[in-house]
Amino acid sequence: MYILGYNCVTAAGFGADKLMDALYSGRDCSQSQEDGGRICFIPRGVEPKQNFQQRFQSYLHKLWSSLGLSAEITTDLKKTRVAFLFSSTKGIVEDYVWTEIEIRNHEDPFHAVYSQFTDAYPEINWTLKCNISNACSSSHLAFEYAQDLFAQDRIDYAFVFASDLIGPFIYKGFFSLKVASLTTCQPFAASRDGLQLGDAAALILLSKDKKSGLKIADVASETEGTSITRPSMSGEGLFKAISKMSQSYKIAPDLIVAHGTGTRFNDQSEDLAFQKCFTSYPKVPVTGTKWAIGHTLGASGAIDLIAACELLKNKKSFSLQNTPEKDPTLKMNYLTKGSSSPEHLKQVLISSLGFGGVHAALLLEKEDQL
Amino acid sequence: MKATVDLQRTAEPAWSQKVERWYQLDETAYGFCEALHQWEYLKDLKKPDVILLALEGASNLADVDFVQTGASSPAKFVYTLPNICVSVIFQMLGTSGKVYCLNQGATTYKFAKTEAEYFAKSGKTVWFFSSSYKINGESREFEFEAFDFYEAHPS
Repeated sequence: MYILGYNCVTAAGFGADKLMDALYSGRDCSQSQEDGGRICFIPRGVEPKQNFQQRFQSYLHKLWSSLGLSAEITTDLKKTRVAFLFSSTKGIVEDYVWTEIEIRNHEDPFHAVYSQFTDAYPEINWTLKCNISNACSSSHLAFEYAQDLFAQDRIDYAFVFASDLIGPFIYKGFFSLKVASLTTCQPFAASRDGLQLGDAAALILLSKDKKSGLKIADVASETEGTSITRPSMSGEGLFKAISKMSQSYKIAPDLIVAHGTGTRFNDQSEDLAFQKCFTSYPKVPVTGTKWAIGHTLGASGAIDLIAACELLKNKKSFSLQNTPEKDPTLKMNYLTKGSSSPEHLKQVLISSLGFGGVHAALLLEKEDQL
Repeated sequence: MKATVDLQRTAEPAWSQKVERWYQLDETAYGFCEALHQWEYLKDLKKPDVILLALEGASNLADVDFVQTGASSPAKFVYTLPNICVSVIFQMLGTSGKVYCLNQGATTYKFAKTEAEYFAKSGKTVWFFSSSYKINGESREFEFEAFDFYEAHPS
């Protein structure tokens, strides 16, 4: 499937260009919190206080307007079959979870987000609308779901809106798990001590066969039950997800954009999985985004995909600029601070791991017309 | 196939050895374990290409439980994602695979079931797990259904 348009808002600011500025310049967008830990918040001006539902709508409408869709596609969206897939872990839960409510009768925290938005565009032929919530791999699973819908010939276009916004519920939860870094997020470094959370919203338009130069060649996932919070520590889960793709597509990435949260378990698991997958490519470089804009949970796969699209356009990778040296126990070729970009960039693998034993991988390819 | 599960935990369950920290399971994960213990025949079925999970209310119950117990318990927080109970289901079944956790507000159940039929028509074997948060006294209903290509295309 092809990527026809995308944009995002992160702690680096509004727009994919702001995201890339932070990644290329080495700007860590996190802010320290009073009770320890660091969070990468989307910059907010002096607008009136908004609840989470209002913030989702505001970002979504702004992203929609910024896509700059051609007249041909705009017409197509009215006549053909269009899906809207909302990828998120917690949606608008912060708007109601702290108050007294009849929770057994309360709707899920996702439906209000996409239904209010799609209702605002009745001229578009929405044939399928839903949320996919598979923890921090929700974006990858939304892309995989779109891939299945295209394969079943049920849709012509899919919008994937991927977003999670950090509030006290998420922050207190991750803090309780003791996985939030108290210093700085340093993926794949020996001194890594955890992740930093981040706000983000991303909107991506996909088509099955309208060529754009940026192609999601394949996406696959594998969920297992070995542990609720830890990934497959042998790397087997991610290895299986990548292997599922290799059954249908030749995988020879020039770069890996790793999930790279900066936790000891995540980074070790990914290193082992990549070693198993790329025995003939031990030098394939590995980078990531979370050191700059935080772990954006259900949006993280979409943000990594946008960053990968941009680096393919720019023909220049970014590095892990908070990581001075890689952990010597890890074997892959990590692009630590000061590393130069690989010269040849055509195919990028993007990995994702999530609670509940989710492992996923996506293969992005630049076609010659770009 | 439906199972009505008694949510009162009065003794160690027969399946406790299969699941990591069974005593910390939230209501939904516990209920699925009890139901799977009743649905022993699942081990004889063809393994699915995809599992669809439909929980009306997503993880709302676990979310409120985390908050109402002080928002500081990691054991409570890990259940505040709707897909977590699939990890527990896989521990019970001793398997792994592809899972979509789908939500569509009040129509979640109907939507996910229709999706299961579409996937079956495209040649996939689908397992569908569902439960709503409605309780009857101390019990709650859990549902399983297998869909496959042959049922979707009866001869």
